[in-house]
This record gives sequence, structure tokens and C-alpha cells, in this order.
Amino acid sequence: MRRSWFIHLLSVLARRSLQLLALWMLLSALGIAVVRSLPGDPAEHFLLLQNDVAAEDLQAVRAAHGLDQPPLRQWLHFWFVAKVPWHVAVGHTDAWGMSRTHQQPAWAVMFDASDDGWSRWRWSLWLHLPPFLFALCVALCVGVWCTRPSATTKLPHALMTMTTLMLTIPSVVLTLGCVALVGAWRDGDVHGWPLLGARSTQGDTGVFDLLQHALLPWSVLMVGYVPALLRLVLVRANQVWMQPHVEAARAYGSSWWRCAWHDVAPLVFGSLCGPLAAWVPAVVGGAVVVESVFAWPGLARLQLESVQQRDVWLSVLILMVLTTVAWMATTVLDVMRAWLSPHGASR
Amino acid sequence: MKRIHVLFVAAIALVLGGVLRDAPVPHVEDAHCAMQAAHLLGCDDIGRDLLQLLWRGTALSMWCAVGAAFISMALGVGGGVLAGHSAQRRRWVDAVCMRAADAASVVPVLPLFLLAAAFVLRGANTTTRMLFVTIGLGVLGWPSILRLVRGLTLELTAAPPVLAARGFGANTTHILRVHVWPVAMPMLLAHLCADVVSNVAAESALSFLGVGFAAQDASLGRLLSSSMSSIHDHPWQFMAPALMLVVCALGVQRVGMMFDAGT
Repeated sequence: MRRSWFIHLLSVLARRSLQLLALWMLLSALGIAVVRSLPGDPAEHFLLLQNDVAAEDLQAVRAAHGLDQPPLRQWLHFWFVAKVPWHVAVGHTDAWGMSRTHQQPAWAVMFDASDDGWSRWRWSLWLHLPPFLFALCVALCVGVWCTRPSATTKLPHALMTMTTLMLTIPSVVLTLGCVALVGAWRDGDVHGWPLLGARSTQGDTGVFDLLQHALLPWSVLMVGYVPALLRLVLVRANQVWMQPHVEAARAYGSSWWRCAWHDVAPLVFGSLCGPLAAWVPAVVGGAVVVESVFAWPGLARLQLESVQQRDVWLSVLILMVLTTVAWMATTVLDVMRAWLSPHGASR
Repeated sequence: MKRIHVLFVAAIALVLGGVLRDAPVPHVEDAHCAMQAAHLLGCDDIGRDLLQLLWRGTALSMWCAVGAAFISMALGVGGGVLAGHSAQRRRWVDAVCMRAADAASVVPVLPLFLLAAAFVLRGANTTTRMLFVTIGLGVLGWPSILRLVRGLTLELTAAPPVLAARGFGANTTHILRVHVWPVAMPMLLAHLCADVVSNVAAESALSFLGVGFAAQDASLGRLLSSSMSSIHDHPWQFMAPALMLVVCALGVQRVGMMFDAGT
């Protein structure tokens, strides 16, 4: 039984990996197609339409971005050679393209540590993971507690109405509103609790400084995450409390919190994995807004900067990495759903 | 209750009509002017009437959102019916549709849109931008609808009335038109409204990031973006589009709940 489950898991992972590979191929082809479909000379767009550009500079840009080759060859080089078209800038020959603005391999821009000691990737993780996990715990605890059999029915109804209202507020309004409110309250005072950035400019690198900068973005993200998660938990927990095995456990004298911890919470979390898996790509995409507003040096903001600078290979690679993150989260959540589901465990 | 729903629909129609208005003309001498009889909501940083900007901006955002939702719906319904209907006989069609939906649903929409829009929309006019945003959001929003419609098709085509109709010799078109569509429609309309809400948010986020509408077009996202520089001195310039965005989302969601209650 265990062996067949493992083989099934491997086959699912293999199938998903093939999907991801196809997506990578498509996204890189899209990057090339976007550049090639530009009206006029695409090389001029890379130079941000400067007026007096020498012909040699244009030729160098064409060579640097592989525009002097047929699209298929350019794409094949991106994947299989990755040395010829992009080495012009500073002589690097690393795979998956060179960043034009950073003058280093696009891969290194994302994953190598910058001046502040942390890589862009790490900053993104620091911004998004803690509030997500905290919101998940809060939603599970509040949702399961509010729907316990002895609780009043008014509270879940009130929470559902509140979460419906909260969820209609677009993230851009929520984020900007928080910045405006806190900014007005602090009267522009940056001492103590700064609004923007991830580190103090004075060179303070302590943990307290990190927490100070992260507090407002975390709060905003949690205000966005908690209602969405709480709504899902409330709906599911209501059903799970009424399942026969939970009612039987209560009839045998189990306390409500033991039932909640032992029976209800795992099932609710298991059923939460499906909606969460569908939700993750939207969260990853929405990070662009949050990181832009808070001037956070994460991957999503790097994507916006690279797009503004027409740094096409860097933006294609970031898109591929963000897609991979969403893919990994979706796959892990799907496997967890199958594992935690009472029907899936036997499969 | 029904009167409220009619009012919501009328308000949405009124808002959508704002796209017919011309963009307000800037008067530099009125820049940041306070609320007064001539300018009920005051003026923005280059002296444009904020109320007119808000009406036109809301209309632009809403048209994009509604258009994109209809495009997603068309693609999702077509694919979902195809996948659901071929799940029994031509399983490879179902498998291709579902794997494509799986793959498309893990791509983050905003970064993909940023990449495409930044290159394609350079120097484009309002109509081109509106079409691009509408078609782009529409094309990227189909996977969830495909899954919903496929599930519905699978469930409904195995229902006793459908099996009976098939026994009496009814063809596929008849079954889809008479048995599947009437049951699926209220659910799809509710999903359409939810899609409009998320598209309004996505469009405003794109415009805020500077890749949707141009500055002179003043969609809701652009109004939010331009209000950021004076958010502490003139908070109303931020609050007006922000409130309008929330009201639009709530209104459309209310209409969606009306359809949902009918299922």
C-alpha cells in the first residue's frame, strides 16, 4: 500500500515537472516574441528610445540580446548554449541571459547577496512567508473556535459578513490606505516605525531594525490574508464539527479543544489546501503591488524595475522563477491535501 | 430587496456610461483646488475636475473588467464544455484541456502582464491600451471557469433527466441547450461577477504600476497612483478613487450574490 502511494506520488511529481518545463519553454518564447513583435527596430526599445544613438551601439545591443539571429536560434541559445548572444556586455558567459542594467548574469541578480547582505529572493521570502503562516494560524484558531458546537451562531455569521466586506477591498487600495493612514498618524516621522524600505539607511543591520521595517508591510499583508483564509476555515469547520466521528468523540466525553486539535483542525487544513493552491499564484503576482508601495527590495519589485528598464532577460527569468514558486507551492499543497484527506491517505 | 438590486444595476450602467465623456481639460490655475460649486470634488494636481475624472476613470476600469470577464467566460465555457463532454469518449481532449488549465493557473498574472505591457503598450493610444488590458486579463482568467464548467458538465450529463433524454434520442446540442445551460447559467453569472471584481482590482493594480492606462486616461488605478505624491496634503484625492473602487467592487459583488441566491 505504502509503496503504491509512493509510486503514485512520484508519477504526479513527474507529470507536474513536465508541465513546469513546458511552461518555462513557453514563457521564454513569449519573452522573445514580445521583443520581436515590437514595431520598428527592437534594439531602440532596449535603449529606451534615446534620440542620438550611434549605429555601433545599436549593433552591440542587437548582438547582446541575440536580435541579430533568427528567433528560433535565439531561443535555443537561451536554453542550450546561453553563451553566444549575451556575453557582449561584460564578458560573462553564464546561462539564462545577462541583465543589461545590472551588468551581471540575470540569475545572479536574483540569488546573489546585494550590498545590504541579503539577496532579492531572501527579502521576498522574509516579507511574505511570516505573515502568511501567522494568518493561517490565526484563521485556523479563530475559525475552529467560532464554529465549535457550544458557540453562538451569531459570531460566524458576523465574521462571514466582515470577511466578505474585507475581501472586496482591492489590495492596491488596502496597501495605499495603510500607508496613508500610518503616514498621517506619524506625520511623516520616520523615527521609530519607518514606512518604506527594508533596512535603515544609517547602516543599522540588527534584527530590531529588520522587524521595524517589516511591521507595516506584514500588517497590511495579514489584513489581506486573514479574511480570505478565515472565510475558507469557517465554511469547512462548520461541516467538520458535524461529522459522525467528531460527534462520536464528543459523545464519548472528549473535550471540545481535544476534538478541535485532534479531529477538526487537520481535516480543515487538509480541505484548505485545495483553495490555497489556487490562491498562491495570485498572491505571488500581487506581491508586485506590495513591494512597489513599500519600496521593498524583493523579487517582485525587481521585476517591475527590470520591465521599466527594458531588461527583458532579467524580467523573463524573474517571471519563470515566480511561476516556479507558484508551481512548487501548488504541488506541495496538493500533495498535503491528498495526505491529510481521510480518503486520500489510503490512496 | 429586489429594488436594491435594480438600483445596483442602474448605478453600474450609469458608471459604464462615463466612457462616452471626453477627458476633462486641465486648468493649471485650479490645481489642487478645494471642493466648491464648480468642482464638487475639487481638482487634481494639474487642475482637472476630480468628479469628471472619477466618472470617466471608473467607466474605463469597469469596461475593461466587464469585457475581460466576458472573454474569460467565453474561453472557459467553451473549453469546459468541450472537456466535460469528451471526458467519457475522447479522454485525451479532456486531459489536454485540464493540463493546459493547470499550467495556465500557476503563472502569476501581474508579472506576466507587466512584461508584455511594458513592451507592447509603448506610445499606444487609449483604445489600444483598453483593448490590450481587456483582452490580456480575459485571456489569463479562463482556467477557473473551465474547471467549474467541466465539473458542471460532467455532473449534469450524468443526471437522470439527461440520461432519459439521451434514451429518447436527444442529441448533444439539445442536451447542452435544454438541460445543462439553464442550470449552469446562474452559477456562471455569479462567477462572472466575481471575475469582474477581481479584474477591477487587477486593472487598478496594473495602472497603478504604470503599465495599464496612460496618465492622461485617468483610470482608477492611475488616479490612485497620481494621488500618492500629495496623499498627506490632499487626502481626498486618494480617498475618492479608493472609495469608488471599493463601491464598484461591492456593487458588482452584490449583483453576483443576487445570481448566486437564485441557484
